[in-house]
Amino acid sequence: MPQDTTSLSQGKAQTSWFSRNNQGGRLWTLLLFLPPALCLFTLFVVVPLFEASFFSFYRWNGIGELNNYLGLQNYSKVIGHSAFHTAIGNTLKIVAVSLLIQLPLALSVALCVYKQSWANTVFRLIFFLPYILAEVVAGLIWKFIYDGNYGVVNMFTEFFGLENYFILGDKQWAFAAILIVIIWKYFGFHMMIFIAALQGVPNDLVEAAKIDGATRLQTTFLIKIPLIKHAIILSMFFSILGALQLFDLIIPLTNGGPSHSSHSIVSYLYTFGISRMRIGFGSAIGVLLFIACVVFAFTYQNAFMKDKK
Amino acid sequence: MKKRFMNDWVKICYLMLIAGFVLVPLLAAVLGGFKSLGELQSNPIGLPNNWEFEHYGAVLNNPFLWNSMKNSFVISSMTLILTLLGGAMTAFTFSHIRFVGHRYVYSYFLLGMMFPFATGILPLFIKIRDLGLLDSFYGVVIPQVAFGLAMAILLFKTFFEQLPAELFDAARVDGCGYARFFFEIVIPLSTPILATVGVFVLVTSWNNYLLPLVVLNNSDLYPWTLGIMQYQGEFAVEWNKVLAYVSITVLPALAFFIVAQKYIVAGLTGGAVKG
Amino acid sequence: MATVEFKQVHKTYPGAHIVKGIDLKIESGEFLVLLGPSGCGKSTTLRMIAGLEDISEGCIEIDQQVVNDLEPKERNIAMVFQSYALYPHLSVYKNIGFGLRLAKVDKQIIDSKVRDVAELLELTPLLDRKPKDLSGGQRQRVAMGRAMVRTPNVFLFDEPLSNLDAKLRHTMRAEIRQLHDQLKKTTVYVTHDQVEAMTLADRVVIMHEGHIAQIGKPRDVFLHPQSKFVAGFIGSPTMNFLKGDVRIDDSSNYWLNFAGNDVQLDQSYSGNVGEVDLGIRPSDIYLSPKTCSHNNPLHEFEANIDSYELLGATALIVVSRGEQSFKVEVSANYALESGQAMTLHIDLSQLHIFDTQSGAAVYRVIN
Repeated sequence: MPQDTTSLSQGKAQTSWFSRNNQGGRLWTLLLFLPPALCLFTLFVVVPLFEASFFSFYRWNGIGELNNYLGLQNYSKVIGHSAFHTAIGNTLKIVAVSLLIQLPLALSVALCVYKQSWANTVFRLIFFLPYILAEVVAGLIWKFIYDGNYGVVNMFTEFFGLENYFILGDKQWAFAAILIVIIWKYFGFHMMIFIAALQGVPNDLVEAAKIDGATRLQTTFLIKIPLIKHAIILSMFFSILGALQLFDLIIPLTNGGPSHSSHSIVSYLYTFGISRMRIGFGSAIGVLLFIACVVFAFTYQNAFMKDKK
Repeated sequence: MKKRFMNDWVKICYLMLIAGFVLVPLLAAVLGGFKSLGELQSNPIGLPNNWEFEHYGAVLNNPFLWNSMKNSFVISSMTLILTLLGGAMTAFTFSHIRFVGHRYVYSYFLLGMMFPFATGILPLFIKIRDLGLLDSFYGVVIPQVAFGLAMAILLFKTFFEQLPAELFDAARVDGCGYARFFFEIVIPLSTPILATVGVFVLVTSWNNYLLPLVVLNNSDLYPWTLGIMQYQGEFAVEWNKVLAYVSITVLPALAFFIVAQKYIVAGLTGGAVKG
Repeated sequence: MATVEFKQVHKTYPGAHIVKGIDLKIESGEFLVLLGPSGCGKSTTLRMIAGLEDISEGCIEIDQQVVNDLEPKERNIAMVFQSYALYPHLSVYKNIGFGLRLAKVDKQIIDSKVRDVAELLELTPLLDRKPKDLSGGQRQRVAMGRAMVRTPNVFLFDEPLSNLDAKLRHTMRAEIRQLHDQLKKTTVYVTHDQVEAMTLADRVVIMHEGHIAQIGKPRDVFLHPQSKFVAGFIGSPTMNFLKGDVRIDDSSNYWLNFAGNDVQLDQSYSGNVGEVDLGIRPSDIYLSPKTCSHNNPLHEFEANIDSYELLGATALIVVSRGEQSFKVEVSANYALESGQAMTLHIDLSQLHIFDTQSGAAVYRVIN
């Protein structure tokens, strides 16, 4: 069939790579839609990350030439700095309090209010409220509560006839006070994660357990909590990443003080890197933070979140 | 039956206790704005004996407050629009155009979600300075958009992929190209996810503190988060004024929360969960 | 009016060869049904006509014009989808008019066309509704309206009735056929439902693993399947397949032996001597010679009933004889039960014999 082959080859000849791929304006759309975000993301997220690791080998105040190569000196300075040790210790305290107090609190509350009802909705919204407030607002409100002359703390000391006590000025207890604010601010978020998961637990299972003779407590611990394991794992993940990156709350409450006893890693970075314009030193802290986050995220995901994907 | 009744009471008491823990500081702050300093000392959490409206009045008449609110509004709106548009367009190239290597580019964006913002803050500052964007809204907006993109792309892509494939075929037969399909079909059908992502972006941007702190020096450009810290610095121990100021800045967030609570919960938890 | 012609069309994906060289000419005004099990390539074939899939090799011509590189909108086709694919955010009116609006047709012309189509499909009272407020049948009609309003040369249907319940499917089937008779547009219709194919088609194309297994009028593919696959695919309940053995006697007559029966074949047998596959439809076996309406040669044999299943007007019994068992469709009037022994009559003119190796039909009495 000769005419077949001619029309066939005609069909082929008309097809350039571009027109074949540009059906429906596919390529034009791609060229219009992808590059803006890609450039922005690369320029302002990825490149600064690499620059941070580069700057961290220099002493630089951001002005003039970048020629004071220090090698790993910035890193050894950070690692040897006692305030940094305190910041790490504080971060671990946040993790501990998050896992041991905040998550159980969030879970117990979630179990109380996860069912759909008018009253439960109100409770849920109340518990979630602190989460939507800006950290600086939460910090200022609690700074008032903790104020030895005015706040609730003052109320207690007056009542018991004690001297005015400034907890945020007490090296020993300032960070404990911050931990309470952290619980107050973030437990509602974890509660919402648990609620979403609990609502996904099939009711059949709970009913089957009841018929099998399980008590309320037993259904909770043997059915509901195991079934929302993925949410608990996720919630722990966010707690730890959040602890590593906490900043905004520290500034209004203590600004890292007294005598650098209440720094988080980022507030340490801010105080010793950013506000003193020590680009190299600050970047070294940033790189350490980055390594901590990435190592944690990968190991955690490999250990606990693998089966989910 | 009796046991059940007891259980419910224990539960309600527990919830009330926690609700008290959450609400008392907030109420104390709002009421504190109505008290004299003296009363604040003796009665920090109760209703004021003597309502003083002048602290709230002074704050409401403070042009600095309104200016910082306006700045925040401009910054957040610009961030919102650019993130939604950029995120949705990029996600569409992954969900529908599926160019060669789209998986790698997508993973590249997703990796960005793991980067702690603070790591790159100093180089970012240098970059913004070198671009001449210090003390300008763009210096805040552009990095915010760049950092919000990853989450937006993730959520948009998941949503777009769940749109029925035949819809795209039908539109192609009707004569729609890719771009047109995106703007005329995809975007109108994506209002739930636009709202979810939008809330997340808006709240994050509205509450942002570190970035404007680094980028903005001119207090005329301060967003409200910087404004409130400056105000607190000025009136350090006049807590009634500071509390009035704090309470008023909370109002927009509170109103927004009440109006859009469904999307807020979805945006702030769902957004995080999917990440 | 348009013809559609396939010339050696292939479709390959990385690692999969979906359509393997199709040659097919669809006549102008014809209602052609592509029928086959899922995964046979029928939908891909349809989507290649629409321009929703690239043609890997070969070419498709609509009205003698090669359309390989044309956009869907340039092919002058319209398509109705399985899920209807109505735009959820647009009203019925806007859904129907969407394509015209994109083609920048004048607003008043769009209006009159949309209203005409709506009138024809009895959608006029629904024009302002959104798709979610419509019933399944109404959505189906909107999808057809959207196709019709563009007055295309070729209508494409991709399993348009499979999301409807049985009763509605029946009505819509009749409506589609009626519309076709009215509009006389070339139509290509994909389905896996053989009843739809039988009732709607001028010609049926049965596809199997990317090839065309058989093309023909519905009656022909039912009565004269050219392969064991087609024979087994068409007809419900499905054809019985038995093992048989063909031998030739001294006077060059072919004899078929199956399940202990010996019958003589007529001259049309074109296969070899040896093992064959034998096909007989459940409806071509009778309980009593009287129920067989025509005067065909019958073969009588004994069998036991293994099971009895009432279908409604008819019943399906499974009988066995020796090692082999097969289905027989009988009138529901007979009072039968399992375990019963009985005499059956096979209509020999309806015997199908297939080559064991190739599956090709090698014997069929023509009448």
